[in-house]
Amino acid sequence: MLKRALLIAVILFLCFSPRLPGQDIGTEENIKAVLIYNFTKFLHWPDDVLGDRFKVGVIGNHDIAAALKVISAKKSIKNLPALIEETSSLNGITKYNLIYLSGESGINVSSIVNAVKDKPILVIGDNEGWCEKGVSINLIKRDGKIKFEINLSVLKETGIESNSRFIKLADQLYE
Amino acid sequence: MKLNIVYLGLIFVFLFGNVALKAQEDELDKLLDLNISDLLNIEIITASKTLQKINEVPATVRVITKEKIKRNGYLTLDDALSDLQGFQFRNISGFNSYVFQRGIPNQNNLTLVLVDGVQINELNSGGFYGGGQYNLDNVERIEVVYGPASALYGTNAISGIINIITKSPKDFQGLETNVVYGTFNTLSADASYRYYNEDSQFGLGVSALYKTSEKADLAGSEGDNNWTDDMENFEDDIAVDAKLLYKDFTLSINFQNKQASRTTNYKSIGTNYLDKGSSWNINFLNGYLKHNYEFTDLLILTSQLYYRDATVLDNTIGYVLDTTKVGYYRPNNLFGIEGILSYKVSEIISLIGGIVYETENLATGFSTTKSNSALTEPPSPAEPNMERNSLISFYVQSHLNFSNYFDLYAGLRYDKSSVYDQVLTPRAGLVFNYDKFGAKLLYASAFRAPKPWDYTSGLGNPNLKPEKMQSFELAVSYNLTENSLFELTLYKNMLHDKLSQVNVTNGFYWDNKGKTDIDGVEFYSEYIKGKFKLYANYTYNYSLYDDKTIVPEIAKHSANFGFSYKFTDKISAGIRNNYLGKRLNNKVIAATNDSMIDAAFLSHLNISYEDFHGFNFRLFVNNLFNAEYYHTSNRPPDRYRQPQRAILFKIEYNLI
Repeated sequence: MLKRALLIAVILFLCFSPRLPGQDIGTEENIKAVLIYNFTKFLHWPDDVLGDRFKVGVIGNHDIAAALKVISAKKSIKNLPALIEETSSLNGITKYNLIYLSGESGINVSSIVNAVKDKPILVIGDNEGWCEKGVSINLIKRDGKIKFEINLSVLKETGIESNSRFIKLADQLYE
Repeated sequence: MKLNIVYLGLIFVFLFGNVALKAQEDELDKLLDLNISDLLNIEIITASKTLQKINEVPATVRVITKEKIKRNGYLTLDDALSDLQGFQFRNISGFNSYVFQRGIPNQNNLTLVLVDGVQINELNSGGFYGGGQYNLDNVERIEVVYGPASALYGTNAISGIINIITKSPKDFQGLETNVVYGTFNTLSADASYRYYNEDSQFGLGVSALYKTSEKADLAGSEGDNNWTDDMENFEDDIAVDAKLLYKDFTLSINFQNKQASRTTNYKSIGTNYLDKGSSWNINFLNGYLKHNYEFTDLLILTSQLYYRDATVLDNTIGYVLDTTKVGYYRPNNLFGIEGILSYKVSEIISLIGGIVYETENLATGFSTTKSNSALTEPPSPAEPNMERNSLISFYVQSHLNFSNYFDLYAGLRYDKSSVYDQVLTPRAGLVFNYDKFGAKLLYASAFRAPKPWDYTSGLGNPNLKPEKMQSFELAVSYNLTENSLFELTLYKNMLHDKLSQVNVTNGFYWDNKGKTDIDGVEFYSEYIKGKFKLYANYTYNYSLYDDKTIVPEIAKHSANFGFSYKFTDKISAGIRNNYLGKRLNNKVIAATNDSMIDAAFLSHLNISYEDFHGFNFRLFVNNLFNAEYYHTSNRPPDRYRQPQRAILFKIEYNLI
């Protein structure tokens, strides 16, 4: 038995070879989290709605919340320290400035959209067809890459202002 | 010997002191340097998080998501496994049903079932219980691992692992209720409430289930004339789960009670067994307290205490003869403690090491009593003779990510038991991922320790030793598009010192007798296009004993396929199909004068209407074409008739 154990150990040690150069790829959650952070640079919330912290609620995707927490430790959002919370309840949802709703959450998108309707809250989703259902920005996978759609009328109703450079980057626009 | 293994583990954990930045932080730092245009052009690693994880682990893994459980209307654990490759069944439609993973018939003691990572196989036999006592509406996902995994989990992980992950209070807050009603007097109702407060980091989830079903019509000629027209066959299940989170602590309690007729265990027509009045009454109580402590982002210690109780209660009626009722009682419990250290030594090397100590208190056999007639209850049996066993285990698994494409895994577990002495189980795996292509080359070993049930069953045999498995596996996968996956797995499993039932004139006993070789091929594919989802899998199993005779109860060919379509946001439908090829029975079937069980093809329909004022409505038609089909038997009935067409209606209501 000891011989077997030593054999395994030898295999382990023999395999310590340097890392080879690889492709420039990222995990889906990390790319989405950085995109969300970058979106906030192009969007302007009404002055009176941002408190002492920029509040982000993440529904249904722990990995994106974790990535956003790593980012928030390094970066501020709208010159404010960011508070990233995971939630699955409609209660208190209007305290957030930005809500990320994952398609994995199983929560009906309409219930979230209706709860924040006409409020200065940016809802970002990640499910095919959700822009038509009232999320402001929808992240979708196309050809192995992350793209985004904007529902311009919903975004306008929130009172959050965007600029044309940002809108041009969208894969698809909905009115 | 023991010290050598301990030192080896310690060396693995502490030798490498090169602390690097956490991989995720590195990647995020790089991504944060990019602008939106650049980010939109980065290729993501895989199409889905789940598939990515599956691609990385050194085993073939399938995940049954909560969405699949809901959409397909699975009521039992066996139902949930029935659409996967590599599974065959012996459903006796009674107090238990048996699941054969990768080509070996057994008493559910070659596959390890875990709930949230804690084993729940019955303690005395080492076999898990199939059936309806699992609250599948409170399940987040079921991870099914194929192939030996004793290098991490110890005994019983021979054919694979089924890990049932229950919902966390963080997953869904509020009240969830589900009611199912349908054919064979099936009624199932469950409710869950979950609460989590981010500020106080306190969460609580409670879930309860009651389920009752007669499962099939087996009376008279419907049941192959094994039982009378008045036969009784019921299963009543209760499950209660509670999970409490506070900061880094998790306290979980999982209770199951299964009360079921034992009618189908015997034939009543032509014998002195009666088919009424039996009741197998078994409790499973499993609890754990888990704590995660992060020394640094790279060094995490998970500690857990756990308690397991699997007791055949003293009001169990094992069987009823025309002159007597026979009472059974068999208590068993186990207490364990485990420490798991996870250490990311560098960007290249990760290690997981663990130490386990368990002490179990097991009945050496059933305690039984008899009544004076078939109409009176027997006295409660006295406590049987108990034996106390202990186990100490050490394990370590290394993960070397020595290039962007290759991951090498190696693991070793050492078990020292007061019953079966010491066992060393190694495993190794090489995983390759490049673009859309993945490959895994795996070697694993495993063992199943004999349990009191094996030592004492029938005439008994005190000289049993663990049966052992060695396995080689090659799996290749290809993602044709981001929404399609093809996977082909070839495996060779060799089971030595197999515990086999030896029949002699005055009874039977178990013995380490012979070998079983299993050659297998599994194919899996899935395809998603918009609102259309398709899956298909095929399994080839060729199981032979060492005398080259075919292993009974295992079909060479089996396949599953199905599709679903979402017509609107609210309405969806799907069809699942299962094919199980013909297989050899353990004996000649009197009704057919043949020892083969015919192949069976089954179709199941599901239709859902979701989000009607907070309600979801689902209709399930199982065995849509009312196929008459049978499973094999290792009991007095020659074969087991399987359920006729069943129509089930489910209402779900969620209040958040």
